[in-house]
Amino acid sequence: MRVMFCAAATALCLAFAAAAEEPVATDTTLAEVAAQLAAPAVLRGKFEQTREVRILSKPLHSSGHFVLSDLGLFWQQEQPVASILIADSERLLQSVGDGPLQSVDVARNPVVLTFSQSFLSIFRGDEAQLREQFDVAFQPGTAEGRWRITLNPVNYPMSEAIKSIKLDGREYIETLTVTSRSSETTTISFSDLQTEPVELTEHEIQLYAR
Amino acid sequence: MRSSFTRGNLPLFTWAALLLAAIAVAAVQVSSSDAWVRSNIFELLPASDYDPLHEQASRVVDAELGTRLIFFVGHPDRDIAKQSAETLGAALDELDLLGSVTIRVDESQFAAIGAFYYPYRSRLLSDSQLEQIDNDPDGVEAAAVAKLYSPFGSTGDLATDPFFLFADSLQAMLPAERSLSLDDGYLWAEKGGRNYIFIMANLLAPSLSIAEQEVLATRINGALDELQTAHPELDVLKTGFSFYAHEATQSAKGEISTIGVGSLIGLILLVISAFRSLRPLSLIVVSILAGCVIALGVTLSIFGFVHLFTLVFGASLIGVSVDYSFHYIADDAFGDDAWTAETGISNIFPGITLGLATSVLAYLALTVAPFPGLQQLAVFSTAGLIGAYLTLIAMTRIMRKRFKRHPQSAVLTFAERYTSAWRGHSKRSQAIMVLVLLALVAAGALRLNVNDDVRMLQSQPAELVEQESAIQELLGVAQAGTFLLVAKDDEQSLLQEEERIRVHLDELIADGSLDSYQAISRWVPSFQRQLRSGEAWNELMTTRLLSLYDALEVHREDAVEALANLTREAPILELQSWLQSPVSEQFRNLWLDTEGPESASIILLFGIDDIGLLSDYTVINKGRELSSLFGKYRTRVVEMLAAAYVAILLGLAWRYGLLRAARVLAPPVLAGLLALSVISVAGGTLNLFNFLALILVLGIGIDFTIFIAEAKHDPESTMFAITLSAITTILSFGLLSLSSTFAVHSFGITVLIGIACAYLLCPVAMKAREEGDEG
Repeated sequence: MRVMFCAAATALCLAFAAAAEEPVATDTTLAEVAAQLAAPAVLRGKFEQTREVRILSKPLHSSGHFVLSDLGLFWQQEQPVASILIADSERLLQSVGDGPLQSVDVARNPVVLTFSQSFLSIFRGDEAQLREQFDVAFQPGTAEGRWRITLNPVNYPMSEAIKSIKLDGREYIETLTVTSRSSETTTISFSDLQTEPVELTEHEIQLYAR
Repeated sequence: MRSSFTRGNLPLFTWAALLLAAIAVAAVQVSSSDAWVRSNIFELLPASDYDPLHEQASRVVDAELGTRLIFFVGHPDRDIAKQSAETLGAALDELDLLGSVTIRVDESQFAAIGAFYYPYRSRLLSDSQLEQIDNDPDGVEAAAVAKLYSPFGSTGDLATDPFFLFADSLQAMLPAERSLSLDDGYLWAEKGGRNYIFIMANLLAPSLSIAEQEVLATRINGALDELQTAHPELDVLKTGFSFYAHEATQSAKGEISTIGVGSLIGLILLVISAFRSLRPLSLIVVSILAGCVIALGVTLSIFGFVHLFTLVFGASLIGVSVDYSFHYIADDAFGDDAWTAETGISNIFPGITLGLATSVLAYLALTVAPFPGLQQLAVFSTAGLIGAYLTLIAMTRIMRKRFKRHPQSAVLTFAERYTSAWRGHSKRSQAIMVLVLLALVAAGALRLNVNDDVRMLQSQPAELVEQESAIQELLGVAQAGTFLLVAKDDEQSLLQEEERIRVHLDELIADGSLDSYQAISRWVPSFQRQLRSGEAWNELMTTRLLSLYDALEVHREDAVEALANLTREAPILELQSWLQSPVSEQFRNLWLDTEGPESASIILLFGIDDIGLLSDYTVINKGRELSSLFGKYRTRVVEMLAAAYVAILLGLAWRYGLLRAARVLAPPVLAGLLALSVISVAGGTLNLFNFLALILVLGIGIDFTIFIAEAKHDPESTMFAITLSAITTILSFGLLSLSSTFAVHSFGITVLIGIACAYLLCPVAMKAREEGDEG
């Protein structure tokens, strides 16, 4: 019966971190896109990110490259400062500059974990996972084969931070636009997307092992 | 006095008046209050003899413990778990006894917490933030830049929190909890393939009446049964003080009827076998009923209520209160033709009066421990015995027909054979027997183990205990129950003191000696700490803001304006504004509302293994306090018993001479020691209640030897009555030993063994008398 004290703490403090696995009704065209996204075992490429921040006169530009595989997402920013992020469904590691790779305490940073998990779901076309976290709207694009997916977060804590995420693409995601609650936008464009070789190279495996 | 009291109608009138008064008191109390029978375990326990603050802290803690109910609803299918949680929640919501029921977490509260603290963000820097600002400001700046570019997650407002410190400060204020996760507003835990949803409810009142407990348990169990039928794979765990209390009440009720009915049936069979007649029963039943009514009336008039615990013990009173009647009936049955009620009463008067006096003394000695439960028990039993005694004397005024013993009765035959067997034994064989018994006592003393755990006061149904530990596992936090009481002259010194203590607690957490804690100063730092934080903040802004903004190409005038805003003196967070804000709702009871100028608070500790680590502080642990109190009174009872033995020995020596007095006293003393030895040799542990039972073994056991010592004619009639009374006592306390409440069981088993031994040894006193006569 003394457990009950924890409950007071519990209700307020531990109310974080999302987990989800629940398939809902499917949308055929969306399902096709999702299948397409999920198809490659390894996806690699370059990214360019533009972030608009309210008091900044100019948007912030950054760029680098990434690898997506069974091992998770490897995200290496090269400009303007070097940083590395490694995310899988359970953990998040990051390093700044030449500093060591540090594990982010996801229990204390549920928003970050949720975000990185959603990011993984987006890249992997994990529709069920996405529907757990977002209202998903699918629009065929104007040009042949193009599409837009709009994700509106439904769950705390994502809904507190993010207004919407828009994904544009054809075969793969080409642009990802995140609009925050405070109307700041982050646009990430992907280029040079490669699915060959189909397996991770030795060098790439080394990257994850850092 | 004897002649005037035992003759005439005075005893009859006295008895009738007392009985009527008792009935009137009982009727008034029972009709005026629903709560005349109570079951709250706290009402049995002594008020702690600590200072008022300690007392107040304990009350806060008790209220917390007493009112909270926790459920986990688990099913492999998350949707079914959700539906079931909602169904249970709806059932709980309908209960008027519950104040709040939480199934889904109100997510807006997180935003509210952020909004409350944001204005004070410069005042709330965490230990690691302060350290980093002092030692590695480059790192702070680099981390801010990295966050700004990170594709993941929200950062914060570059204008008002340019180094994005607030989110980390806030997180440091909340203890890290990893075991439950939030999804769709529900708090989830996973175990054994099931997904569990956490539900919490609070009772409006800290303790429930028996009727309310019943309503609560019936409604909740009903809802759970329906859910279980609908979804066989569903697993619902529940815990809460009220569930334990309800189980305890149910088992107490069962025990009262088992002991009461069992004693009565045994008594009837015994009377039939001894007298082949039901007539003696009329006297016995009247004396029991009158005794019980008087006991209830006196108890209610003194305490205003009667506790179930008292009634469980009180049910065994039946076995003791019939003794006086047995002596009278036996005297009659063995009397010659000239025997009249007057002869009978004057024959047994010295014996039963002395017996009553020693029993009453024994019961009153129970009040040595300041446990309200024991005091009530003593009052109930004393009143019951006096009632039964007066009933007998009053009844002899109106009973005219003689009782006849049944010549072939097994009880009589046994009593006669046992008495003559003792007569046949030489002094030497008696001495050998005593030596053998002393050896057994010594063997027991070698294996003696004591256990003063407070939980012996309440039955601990295995199912509830299992569910509670399953819930602990799901919550991932070990049980709370230990608190630190912090008191200082004023609010600020108190918060500073808490901060000092928390440094130590954080070390204990790092060691793994403590799971976590809750303290006010975590949510409201002292002014001293806030000022220190503000200085570090200003230092960081003054030295680093412009370089950060330059790197981001912020317009210079915007940067200068931001710097001015950021270094402007920030408001300081006052305890009162926190206490009055909804964000403190779950935690504000940690602040004690003292009446004087001093300030006091509680720090809750979770999963502390070794209280010795906290020896510098005022540690409150109700369970431990009570356990140590039990230990203290166990020692005191032993001392008091020793003193009582000496006092009784001296008293008896005055009447019988020292040698015979020793022979009268030896059987109950040896019987008590044997009872403890048998329990110890059998591997049991001893507690306060075993020793309290020794008081009764002494009180009842010495009745046996006194009756023998005072017997007017041949010892067979006395032995016959003693045999009857020993059987009834053994029967009723034997039934008590079946209790699921360990304290009651301990008491029962000790009296059972003790009285059996006291009976078997009591002819020692008879021999003494004959030898005394000869010598």
